[in-house]
Amino acid sequence: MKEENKITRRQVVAGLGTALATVAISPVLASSVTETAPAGPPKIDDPRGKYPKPPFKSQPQPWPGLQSKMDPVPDCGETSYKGSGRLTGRKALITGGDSGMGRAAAIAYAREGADVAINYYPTEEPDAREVIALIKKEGRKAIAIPGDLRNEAFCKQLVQKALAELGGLDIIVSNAGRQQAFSSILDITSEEFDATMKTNIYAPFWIIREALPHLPPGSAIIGTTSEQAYNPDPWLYAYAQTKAATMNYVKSLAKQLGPKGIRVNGVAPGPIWTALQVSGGTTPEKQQLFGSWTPLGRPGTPAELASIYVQLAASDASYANGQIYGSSGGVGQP
Amino acid sequence: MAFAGLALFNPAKAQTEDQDTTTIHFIVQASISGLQEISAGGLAAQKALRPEVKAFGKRMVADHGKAQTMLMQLAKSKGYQVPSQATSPPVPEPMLTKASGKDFDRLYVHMMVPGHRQTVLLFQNYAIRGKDPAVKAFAQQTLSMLKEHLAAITAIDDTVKEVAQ
Repeated sequence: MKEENKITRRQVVAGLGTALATVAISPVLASSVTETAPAGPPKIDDPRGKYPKPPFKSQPQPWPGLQSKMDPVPDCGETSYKGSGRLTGRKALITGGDSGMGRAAAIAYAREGADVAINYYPTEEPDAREVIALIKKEGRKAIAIPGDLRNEAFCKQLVQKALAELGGLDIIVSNAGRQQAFSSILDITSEEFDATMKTNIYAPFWIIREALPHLPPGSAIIGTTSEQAYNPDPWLYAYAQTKAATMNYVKSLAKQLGPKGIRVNGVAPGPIWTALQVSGGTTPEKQQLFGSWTPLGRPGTPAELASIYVQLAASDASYANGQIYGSSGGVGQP
Repeated sequence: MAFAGLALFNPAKAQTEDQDTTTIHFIVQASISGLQEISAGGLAAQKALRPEVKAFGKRMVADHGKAQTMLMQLAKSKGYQVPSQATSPPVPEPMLTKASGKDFDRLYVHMMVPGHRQTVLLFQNYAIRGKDPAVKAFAQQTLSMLKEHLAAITAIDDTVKEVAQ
């Protein structure tokens, strides 16, 4: 890849500022730089008013919830994400790809040139159909593989089907999560605890183990963890410990797989407005006031994390391994 | 160099605390928590097994109903625009509507304790730091009632020993 092509593409994506920086680099580059440098005032967004603020309508849905029924509907970058060939020819499997951050990643990956398989729980089909259509619109392969991640046999089938239909695999985004709020540990049944462990800890294990023999050097594995891994809320006893486990497996696997040329990283969101939050993932009061406690005064929307999933999958982030990239509006860790 | 260019176009704006925004935030939070209390309390008044839980639910509906009316009148008289998402009755909490018998009592009581703790903190904060005198007075008045609620539900919580099966 030519150096000046990289800079030009970055300019186009980043807009302002880089024009001034690159002039200093070399006279050879200067001419190509001034041809594509954007003119006029910088285009920047005020993050505070960019996406919906609380209070939100009280809107409980039965698990797992559909984002298409939310008010407002989360923005996953459907109309805003613009790709620039960062993942050309890549093949990605994304769990929880029907809505929320998985959806934002699926859309972004497709716009960056990748073929994408998405997994989701069968009742999430209406949301998933929209994502499949958006991926196909980019001229990329879009594979829908619904099923229950709590089942080991299904997790194996999921990987085999993705491999077969995509013709290979080099990005795994283990993002699907079960989040249920309980005021007290006394209110959590064994069944509920088990469901959370199976979805959030066992499924990533089963999927990565099944896929690993087929992942070439240069592949990327990304796990969705959370600020809850570092500073958990008291009503998320079951969920939060699985996010700590995720953060931890990212780091141990990064050490194990780094020598094989496979990078493993994590994304730690703060409060993001997704179907999780209206289907029992938080308390009724917090659902209405979601994100109000952050310095930006609002929850994040999935579109705001898409570029992180792209960044960690892209080959130019070749030194990121065992990292956890946060996005939380100013609260918590990392 | 790039940053100097940025500064010319976008001078940093210092964030000043807007008294009205803070008061509106308090009103929004107080309204939402009050309406949630009324909703859950109504379910308890209907469905609770233990008489003391049933009675507590009835009390929540009555006490928070009055407080909510006062709060809305106050907001209206001062011309504060409170979004409808914060003033419409919430959808009843599904975990509570689905539960019955001992399970209901356990879930309801367990939800009420931290909920009330947070409400006390919310009102305490505005009662001390609030800038609008009328709203501050409302917060101070309501605070003693909220502390009584918290004491009552904490006492009931101590007697609820069941565990989910």
